[in-house]
Amino acid sequence: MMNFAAHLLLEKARLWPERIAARCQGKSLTYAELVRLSLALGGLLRGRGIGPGGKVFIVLPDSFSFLACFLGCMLGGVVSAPLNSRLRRQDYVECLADIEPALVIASPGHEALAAAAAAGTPALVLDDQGLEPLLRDAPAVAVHPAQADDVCTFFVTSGTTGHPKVVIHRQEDFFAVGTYMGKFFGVRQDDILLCSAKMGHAYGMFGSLIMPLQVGATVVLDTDKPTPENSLRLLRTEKVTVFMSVPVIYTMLLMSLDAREEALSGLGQVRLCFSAGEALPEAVFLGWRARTGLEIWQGYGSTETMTFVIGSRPPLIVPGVAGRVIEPYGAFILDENHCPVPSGVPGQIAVRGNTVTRGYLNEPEWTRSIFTADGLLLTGDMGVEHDGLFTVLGRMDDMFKAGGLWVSPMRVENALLSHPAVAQCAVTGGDAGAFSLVRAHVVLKPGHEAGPELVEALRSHALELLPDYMAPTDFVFHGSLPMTPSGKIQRFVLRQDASNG
Amino acid sequence: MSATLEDLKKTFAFAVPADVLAKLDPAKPLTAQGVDSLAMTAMAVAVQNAFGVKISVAEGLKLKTLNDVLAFVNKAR
Repeated sequence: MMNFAAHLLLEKARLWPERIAARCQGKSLTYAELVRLSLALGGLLRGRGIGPGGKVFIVLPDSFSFLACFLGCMLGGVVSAPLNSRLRRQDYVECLADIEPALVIASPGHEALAAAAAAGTPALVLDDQGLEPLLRDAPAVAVHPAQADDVCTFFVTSGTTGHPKVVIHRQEDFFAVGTYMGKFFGVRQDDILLCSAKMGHAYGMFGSLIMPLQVGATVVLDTDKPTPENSLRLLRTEKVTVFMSVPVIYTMLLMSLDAREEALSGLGQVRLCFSAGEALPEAVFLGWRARTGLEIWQGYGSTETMTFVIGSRPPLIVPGVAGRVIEPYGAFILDENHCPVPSGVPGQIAVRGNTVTRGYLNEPEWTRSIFTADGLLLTGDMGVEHDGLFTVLGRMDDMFKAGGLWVSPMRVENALLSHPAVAQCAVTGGDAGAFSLVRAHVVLKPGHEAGPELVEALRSHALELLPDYMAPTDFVFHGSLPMTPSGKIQRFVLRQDASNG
Repeated sequence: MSATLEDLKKTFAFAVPADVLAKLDPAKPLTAQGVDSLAMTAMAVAVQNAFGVKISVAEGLKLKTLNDVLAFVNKAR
């Protein structure tokens, strides 16, 4: 039997029933309680006719409820799709149409509930206060004897057009992530982990669920958006030892410390800081080391690989460089014919390893397009390798990240084009200081004038239609946009102009 | 002519919610006063565009308070 949730939980609950599995909003959940709640959640689903192969959406903040739902699904053989809870209603509508789940579990008042109602999909409203009453009388589910190859989780990520890509992962992938990343990180039973990435993303799933539960450690869950205040408060009060975060949070933390304040003294318990999601600027790495004495470990991976395939840890950290291939993965730099290039020559990063997805749900063409004839996964990222050290240079397509989250340029452009003043537009990534941002290049219709009022109107318009992190913060007005002979906007020209200007 | 705190606040009108902006203490870290990462990013953009300055990564890390930003703008111009 290869049921990863059973592997994570059942033995540990027997060995250390009283050990704390998770802390959230000042409350503790033991391993014994987590197992009981998860089995009961699986039983509740079974009672509703949702068993092996059935599909469930989880749209919850990081919380005890999230853990119980995700693990309960897996214990019962139900395929779960943990979704980013910051998306807009239309995103959930599209995900529902793609995946056709039997049930949507979401927190009270969440947009996903309205989407579920419109699609006629049953919904379960849940938060941590409602968890115990809901499950009090639910029978424990019989653990599903899953096979290694069984699909167990869908991660949803953005595509270039804005249409969601549903990345399939199997039981085996979870086992492999647990084993290999356990070795890389060396997390111990007495560790207390805090991860800024949410569990609706593969990074958060790893940092807040797979890794801590794998070794019997404690995870600290933050139901809110990660902010420097929250993070600092939790690091201090919860005595966190392993902090997994993203560059923007390290940046904000450095900026929130008063020069007179003693160097991050409250972080005395933290022994390991890790960053992923975006490249960590060298200045942030150096600033953090100066303030805390800790070198930030780094990882590079994707939803498709499910975890980190390239990483760096002391004493081998080179600031500004992603790092070396992590065992047992393979990483290669390929030219446009998918042939390896010599060391030092830039090309596309391609990877191999047994946690790599078999593809996207319902999208055989997309799936074919991400693999080479030899079965390597094409990441879509440009990179270069020197003496075994990999540097990530950026995307080959027009996708980019802002604040660590994927932004689809076409989706933002479509939102702006629906504003009456916009004739044409193109969206690129940019940066200001250590912050990565969304920049809109706009050509106005005749009769409209560029100015602060229009910028504000465009930004409000975008905020109504898009998740907040996708709304542009910088607007540049142009008389015309650079086009290819075939009429496509050349976003790369705009990117270069912006970085030179 | 040097920029003033008021000039700076006007620049941030659309980057930061009005209630947060009105209460900002110029001597305290912005991140400790309800300014989130999206707002910080918008503020950095506003400073660059309004005052014609470029903020590098290393400089950006030092701009913790409104007073820091004001000093930076007046020195860089």
